[in-house]
Amino acid sequence: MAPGGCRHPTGVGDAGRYDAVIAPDMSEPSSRPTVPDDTVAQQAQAGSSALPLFAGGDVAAVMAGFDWSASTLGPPAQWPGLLQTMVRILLTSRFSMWMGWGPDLRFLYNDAYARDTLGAKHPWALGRPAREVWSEAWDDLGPRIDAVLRTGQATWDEALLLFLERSGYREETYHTFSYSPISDVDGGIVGMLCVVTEDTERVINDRRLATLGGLAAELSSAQTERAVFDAVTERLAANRQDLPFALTYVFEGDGGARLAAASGIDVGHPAAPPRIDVKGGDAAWPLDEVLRTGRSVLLDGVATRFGALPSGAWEDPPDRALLVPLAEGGQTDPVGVFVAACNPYRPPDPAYRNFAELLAGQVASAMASARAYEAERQRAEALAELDRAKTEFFSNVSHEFRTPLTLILGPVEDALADDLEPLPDPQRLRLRVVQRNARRLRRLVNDMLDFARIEGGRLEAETVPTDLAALTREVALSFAPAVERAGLAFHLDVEPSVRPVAVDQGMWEKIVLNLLSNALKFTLAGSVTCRLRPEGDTMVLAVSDTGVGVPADQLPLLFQRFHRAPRTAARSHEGTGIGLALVAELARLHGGSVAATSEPGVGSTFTVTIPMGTATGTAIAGQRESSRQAFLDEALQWVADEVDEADTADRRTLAGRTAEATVLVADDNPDVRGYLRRLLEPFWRVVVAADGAEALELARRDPPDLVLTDVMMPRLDGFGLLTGLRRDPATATVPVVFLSARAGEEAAVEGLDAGADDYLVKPFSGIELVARVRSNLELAALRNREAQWRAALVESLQDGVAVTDAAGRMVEANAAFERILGYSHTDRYDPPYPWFPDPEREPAHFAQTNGAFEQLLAGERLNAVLPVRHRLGHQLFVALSASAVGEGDDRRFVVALHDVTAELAAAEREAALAQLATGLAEATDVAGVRRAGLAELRRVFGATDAVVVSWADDRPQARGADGSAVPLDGRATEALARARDERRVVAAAADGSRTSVEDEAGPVSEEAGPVSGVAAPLDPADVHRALWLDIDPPRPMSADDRSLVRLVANLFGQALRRAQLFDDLREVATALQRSILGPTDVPDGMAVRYLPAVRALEVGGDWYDVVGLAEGCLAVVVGDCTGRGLQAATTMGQLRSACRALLLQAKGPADVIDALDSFAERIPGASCTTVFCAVIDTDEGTMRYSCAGHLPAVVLEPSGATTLLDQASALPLGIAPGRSRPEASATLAQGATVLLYTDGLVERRHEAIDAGIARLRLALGDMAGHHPTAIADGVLDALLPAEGQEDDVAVVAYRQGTPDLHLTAPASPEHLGVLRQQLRHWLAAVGVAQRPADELVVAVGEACANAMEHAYGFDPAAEVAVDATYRAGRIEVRVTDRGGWKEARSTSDERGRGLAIMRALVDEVDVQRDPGGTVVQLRRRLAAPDAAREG
Amino acid sequence: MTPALTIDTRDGADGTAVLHVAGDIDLSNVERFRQALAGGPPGERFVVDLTDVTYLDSSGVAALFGRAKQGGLELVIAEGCVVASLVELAHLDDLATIRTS
Repeated sequence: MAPGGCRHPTGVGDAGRYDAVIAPDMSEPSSRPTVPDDTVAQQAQAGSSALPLFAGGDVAAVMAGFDWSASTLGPPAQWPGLLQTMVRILLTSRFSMWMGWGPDLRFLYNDAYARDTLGAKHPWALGRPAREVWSEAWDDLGPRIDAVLRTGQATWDEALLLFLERSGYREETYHTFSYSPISDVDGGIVGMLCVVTEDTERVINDRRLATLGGLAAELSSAQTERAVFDAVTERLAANRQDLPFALTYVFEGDGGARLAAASGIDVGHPAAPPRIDVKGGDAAWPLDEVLRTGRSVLLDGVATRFGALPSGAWEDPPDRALLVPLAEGGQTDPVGVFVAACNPYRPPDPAYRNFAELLAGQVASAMASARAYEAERQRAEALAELDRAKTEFFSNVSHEFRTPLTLILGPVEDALADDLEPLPDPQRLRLRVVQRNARRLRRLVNDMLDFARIEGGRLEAETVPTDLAALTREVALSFAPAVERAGLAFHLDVEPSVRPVAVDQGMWEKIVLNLLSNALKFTLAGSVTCRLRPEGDTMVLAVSDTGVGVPADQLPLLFQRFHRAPRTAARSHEGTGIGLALVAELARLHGGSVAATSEPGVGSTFTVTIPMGTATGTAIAGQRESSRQAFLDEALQWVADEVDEADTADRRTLAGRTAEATVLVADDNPDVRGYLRRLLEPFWRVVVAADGAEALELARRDPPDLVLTDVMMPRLDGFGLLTGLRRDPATATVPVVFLSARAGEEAAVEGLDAGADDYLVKPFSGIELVARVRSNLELAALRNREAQWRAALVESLQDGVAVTDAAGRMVEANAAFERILGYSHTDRYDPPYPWFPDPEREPAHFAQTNGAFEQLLAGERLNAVLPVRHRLGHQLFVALSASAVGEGDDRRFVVALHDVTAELAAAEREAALAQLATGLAEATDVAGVRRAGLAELRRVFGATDAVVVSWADDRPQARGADGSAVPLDGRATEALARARDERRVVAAAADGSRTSVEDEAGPVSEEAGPVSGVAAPLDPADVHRALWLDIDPPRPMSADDRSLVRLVANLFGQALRRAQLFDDLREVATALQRSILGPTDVPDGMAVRYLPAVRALEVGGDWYDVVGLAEGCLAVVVGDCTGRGLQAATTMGQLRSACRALLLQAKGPADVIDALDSFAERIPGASCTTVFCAVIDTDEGTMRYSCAGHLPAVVLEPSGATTLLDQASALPLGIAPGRSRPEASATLAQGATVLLYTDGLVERRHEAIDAGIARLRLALGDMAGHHPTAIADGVLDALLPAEGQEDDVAVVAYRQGTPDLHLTAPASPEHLGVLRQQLRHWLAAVGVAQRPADELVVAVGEACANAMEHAYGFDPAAEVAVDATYRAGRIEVRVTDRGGWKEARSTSDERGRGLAIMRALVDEVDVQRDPGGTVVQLRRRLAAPDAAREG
Repeated sequence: MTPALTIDTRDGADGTAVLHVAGDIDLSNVERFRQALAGGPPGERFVVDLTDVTYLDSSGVAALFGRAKQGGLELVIAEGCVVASLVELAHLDDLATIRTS
């Protein structure tokens, strides 16, 4: 019990009083069965002597006037003591309660219940059987009540849905209530009591918030309009209570509206036509009205309009619908209309409308985003389509050339080759010209086709492992005749590569030939050199000439398509200008590059660098059409008119050989080597070695297709070579044919035993050797095909595959394995593998992965996602499945792994996105959105900092999560400007000192290097704001990350814009409220305070007013309109104005509220407004007041006691107009303060309002005598939560005059200090500022000292009196003594100084001296700033 | 409660002793104040710090006058406070050096 209450036992709201009555009677009824009934009656009687039976508010008044004799309860005087006690408890409690008495449970209740639950049923319900009162809910309530009455056990229901008809319609309500039995002394149950709290608002608000939040989350990932509408359809269908059905119509260009989303209703239903003609007179929905006004429309009579309608979650179909424009913030023209069928059981109040409008706002902004995406996507598609069309044209045209060319070349070649009817020489020569040029044309067409394919991305290098040195040599040699014929020296310097190089052989051929042909073309004398060298992981081809050279300014243009050197000395001026460009493109297709250096007059060098790479195809891939002949023909044409036919034919044979296999010949005899080479070279490529060791080295470097070896050789013999070859997996399957001078079966058996594939004994015939080699090659090809097919299959897998032996040693792996983990797939590894997590730094991950492998080796299947480390150190997650094959030592484990790092990260990001959406949906103002959004962005992207950037005068200004300005560096500024101008995400890549800026559409890929920051436009519709994420240390950012940035930035931008809209609205409403709230310039001795809600979305409806009336009267009013937002603010303004006008007509408080009652009926939203109105006669110190459902004002007496002004309480406005309003009066002592306030001051969630009022009274008790300003600020300080109030608060404090000061003190100097202190305290209470107060204290101190010294000579038995008053801005202090004036006691000098001090410090000093004593009067007028502590 | 009068001697910034007075000076304790003022030899520099004096009446002013007449008195006063007004009102600055703190 609050101490404030205990001190005032007469306070009606003081529950402490009832504790005394309840304790013996009610709390333990069964433990006192022997208490006679009359004791109870006496106690009840004793209570009633202090308190009338029907005490309290409105219900009590109705009960007092009720004709009880007509009811079964009979006249109240004859009611049993228990019933009387219960009725008193009921009527005086502020908890909502009702009780049923007697067999048919006659209905009795209190004010709170009448107001909150009964509504229009009050006072009809009084005394009626409960079954009749709640007939509509009896199915739910009846069984509960029966159970209570039958068993005596109390019930408890939380948030039970009840349909009540208390406001003139069937209403969806939620109540938490408990029924408990009322037992008489015998333990018999004579009735029941229900304590009830209504949860309707909370339940419904939660439900709507869930829908809004869910929709926001869903819309955040919707990128197309279809996805937006699907999300809307699905989400809204989930709330069939608030939206029995909902429709989204989108305006189309032709004056129609398309039904884009329908929830809870079938498309095609009369109320959901797929299309509405907006201007059509008989449109299903009046969309034109919404379009015209841009405002929401509440449509009544929907049921009559459409007939049968789906009823959503309810029994009854909706009869109202809200039509809300779909307009984005800042847009005036709606893009559509959102139709929300209203819950028939809820009023279409501002909250409902607000809900529908928020939904519409979300849909509209999601649509805008989706449309922006769509536009972007279409633009990209159009560009791609254009490109495709161009490429198609090129390839079609080129293709068209090819067929006629083939038909020219075929017959020409037939004619030239015809030996039966040979051409005469002149014709032959002519046809040769035709043949050469047709071939050349075909090459040009092929080049064009290649270009078209490259353009279209359809030409891919089909790389096969190639001995690049051999290939290059062959190609170069094929061109050599042309160079030599031109009289130039041709140097070929080709160094073999250590391992096969992945090239598309046809393309490489073109590269080499183009470069050579180019060199020849521009070199008139000197030499052409072709070099090939391995350099690290690359191969470098350099073709140098001693030609005319290229001027420096022309160099960068060389590789542009169709660029041709300006007329210079050259062998030919023909050419398409695509040769070098093609070289560049082909090199690029290999992941390589081309460069040129040149010195005019000295020569040029063209360099092609390609990575050794990994082959995509296999060695058995088919050959492309060779272009060597065409190149050669063309070049020869430059150097001679006639071509040596025989030579060309020779070379052709040579060229045709390249498709064949390589045979490695090992023999220590040079003659034999030469013989073998001559024998084999017409058919295969031949490599020779002088002994086994050299052969083994050559074979390892470039595995041949067959090895033909002598048995007896120095260093390493044939057997040693065979063993060496078989040991190396790369050469293990190469067929080996032995040649031996040793004859006989034994030698053959020995060789074959050792693993040789065939055996030939010298001397052998050339034909036999070739036949043996051929058949062995064919056998090997056959044998290898399956193995190769398997290897190719494994290699082609995107998943990594590795095979380990029984001990876990890895014996095989594919290229994807290396790509995923970074470890070479040709090396061998033992567990724990190097790609396991570090056991020191990440023991948990190590244990997980290592444990999984140990279990695998122990025989269990493995199927898990495991953490591993890439060779470069970054963490990966791989989905790993493994199984065992075979048994014992032959057991093998096949492990397949798939990199799921990106998927896991994506899932994590999805979750983060959802969390962000939720966080943003919860924030209601710009600061909140910025705080929540930026914090979440930092977390999601691991950014060092995240800021919102806006541009003012083209200068970016960045704000961090706390709203403070953040400086931006040049890198950020540049990226942001591009992000803004190009409307896309721009990543700033920092490498070293150089900062480059790249974007998501540009050449940046994941490998492109670390990113140190990302800029993104916030919202497609908002060009003035962007987002900047600072990433330190820089790290790579995937394309996924980038699109996530875009998505999140959009989401964030929308939330910001939405919040901005809310902020604007709130600002308008707050400004409106402030402008109509009430005066801040109030009379002296008053203080007014208004604090808006801190966290709520909208303004509240609290107001106050202070009106000066005639004859020293002052009216003080506080009120509270229901609802929030602009609607409440305007309602409040109207009521306040009306109230003021009524007061100025000299109406009393009850009359004013009476008139407001009927006024409130006509203002929408005004009903249920609570008002406390008081008229104070400031001269008399009396007040009259009347209260309409408002909290009682409190009077703070000068003594510190508090009283509630609760004697004239009645219903809120507009509930029951016409009933006359009560009025009460109170006396205000001088210095007493009246405090009027609204519920925000005392109301706390989960707490009875009485507790809040008790707290207020307690706080006030310590403020007696304080100035009203100090009191108003003091109660706000003491009562409002530190984190800010949830509701708005209005407080008015009025003080009746100022307390006068009366002090007396013995005439002794040691009492001067006490006098001064009391005077200071009083001056503070009056509100005098520090400096004038100090001066007054000195002046009064002088007067007192004078009195003590001169009048009494410090006689402690005598007294000095100090009386002070404050009236009309003037302080007057009288210092009185009763002594004779004893002049001689001091020097006149000192006393004169005292007087001078007094005169200097106050306005007026008046000394009246007579034989009875002396009165010194000091007066000082307080200038406005002196008195003003109010602001 | 009215602040009690405390008087003590402290070292000033320049090394000279400073008589530091704090609290209310009125008739009840002015004699103590007067005696403390008499502590310094007449004519020599005598610094009295009144910064923390919260109340001063005419008897206190008279005590200051008495000492000021002997010469060498230097008063340190909080600027803008009521003590400053009183000192100015009494024209003490004719006889003593006034410094504001």
